[in-house]
Amino acid sequence: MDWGRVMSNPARLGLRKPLVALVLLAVAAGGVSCKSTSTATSSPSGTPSSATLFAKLPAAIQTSKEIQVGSDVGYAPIEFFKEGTQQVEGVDYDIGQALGAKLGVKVTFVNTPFDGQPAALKAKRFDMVMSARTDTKTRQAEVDFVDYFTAGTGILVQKGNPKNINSLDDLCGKTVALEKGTTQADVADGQSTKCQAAGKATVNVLKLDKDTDALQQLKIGRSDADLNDFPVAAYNAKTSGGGNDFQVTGQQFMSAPYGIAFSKDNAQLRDTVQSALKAIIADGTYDQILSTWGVSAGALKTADINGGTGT
Amino acid sequence: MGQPTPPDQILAVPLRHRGRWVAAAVLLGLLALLIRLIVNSRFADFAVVRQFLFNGSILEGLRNTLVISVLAQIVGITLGVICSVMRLAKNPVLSITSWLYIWFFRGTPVLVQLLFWFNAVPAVFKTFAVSVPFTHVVLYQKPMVQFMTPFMAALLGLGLNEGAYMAEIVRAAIISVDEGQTEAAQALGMRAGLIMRRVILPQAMRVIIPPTGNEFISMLKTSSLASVVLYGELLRRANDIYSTNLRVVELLLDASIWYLVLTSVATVGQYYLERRFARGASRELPLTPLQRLRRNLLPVRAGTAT
Repeated sequence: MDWGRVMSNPARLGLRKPLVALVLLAVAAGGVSCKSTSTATSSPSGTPSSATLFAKLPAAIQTSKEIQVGSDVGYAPIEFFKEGTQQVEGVDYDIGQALGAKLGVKVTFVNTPFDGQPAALKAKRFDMVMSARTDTKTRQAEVDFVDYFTAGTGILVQKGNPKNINSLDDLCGKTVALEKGTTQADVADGQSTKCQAAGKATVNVLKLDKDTDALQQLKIGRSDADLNDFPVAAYNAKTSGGGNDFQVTGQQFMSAPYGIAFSKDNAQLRDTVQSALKAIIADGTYDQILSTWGVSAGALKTADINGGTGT
Repeated sequence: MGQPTPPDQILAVPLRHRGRWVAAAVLLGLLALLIRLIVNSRFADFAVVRQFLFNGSILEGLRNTLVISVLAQIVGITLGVICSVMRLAKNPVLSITSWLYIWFFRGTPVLVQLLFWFNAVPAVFKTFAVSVPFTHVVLYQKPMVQFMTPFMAALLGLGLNEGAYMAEIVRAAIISVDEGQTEAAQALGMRAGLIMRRVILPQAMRVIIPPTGNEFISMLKTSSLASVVLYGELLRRANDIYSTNLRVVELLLDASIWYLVLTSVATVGQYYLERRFARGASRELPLTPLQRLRRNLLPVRAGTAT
């Protein structure tokens, strides 16, 4: 059928009723100009377009055209404030913006304390959480995760490693400052029990509200080490005090995926975001973001739901 | 003329206060509705609240709250009395120094002061040492990070801040004592120090107690700020528990219940302390709530008073 001639004169379809022709014209017009607010250009074949992804979003988000993301901003380079401003930057922020572009919605980051995020998510303070939150079996009982990055734990010590800490076992009898509610807090507590069982002194674990507070304790010497995610440890070693404050010791261990957390009753948003994540992995945006921040080592090839196996 | 007949017994009917009964009924009704609303809303799992109310960690936190509040208040009162006396001294160095202390420690937020003691002081001063002046004899020395424990940071932060407020309270109390007292004491040949200790301060106590009681009740709750310097008081302990089991509302309810218990006991204590210091001031002290309750509930014995 010669659609060109049909478009110029729908009556050529042979339909006498002009209304039907008008409807056909409208449908054809709608199919051709794909109205979407996303800035993404043509996606590779096989991945859904922005319009289809937008249509899969929950109705409330389609109306507000905004996804609120809870995040504990203060964990460079994953999420942190641009110095002297309230503008959020980091790996999570850039991935969030890329997901928003793919879905055709605005993505806003809401600064929320890390250990208060599950409760706030349940209270619908925001739609999802992107806060370098490790996907673990324990946490899967409360929320659903879409895995988007993988990172292990790194041990950060003072420059020169004065207390000679090279592994978790060297922490027996030492003081560790870290952020409360994190998997590292559980690791430190577990190590303390292990030390006690081996007949050594326990680990004095200081649980601070933010990781930046924990870094301060390490800097002034109240603690001997800080356990945080390896990319964060590496970043702080490189940047704090011009690179003279801290160093990373030992290898990264206990690699586990970061997950975007969703409330258990929000499966629709979870699945749509998973599709968007798969799309940005496929079209290379994801890899580009990671290499900008120097954390390509943590890239994932797929976006699983609740793929974490640790505790 | 016969015996005068005794006057008829006056029929004394107590005045009916119907409005009071109506108002009481309305208020009680609303209160019952409110309680029912709270209980039915299930905003907290009260089984969990009961589970942690007498938890060992929480009770330790309660003890620590009491300890730091009492100690910080003692530090505050001591510093406050010294500082206010300095403020009223004729020596300008003394009065200006104390003014500066009050200005600085009243002028900055308590939270900032706590964080300053805990984080900033060890960053700047690496060692804490007590030594004999003008000699090299060191009596006590410790690395600052070991000296500035959460307890020490809380004590310094809360105590010094409280000292500034107490100084103003004591100063107000001192100037409230009639000037004639000082003049009479001077006429008797007493020196300034003796006058302050034996004449002014004892009379000023009556004016110091109510605001000091208020400050202590306030301190019981301000001590919760010490949680940011990791001092293991009630709020921090509740926080530690709910950061593991995610029962935020229940644990905060537990902490609130204990704070209410503490402040209620302190309020009752303050009431009776004030009454003791008011003994000379009023001819007859008003009835305490307990005395009023007893008087209202027990039947009035008619015809015994003459």
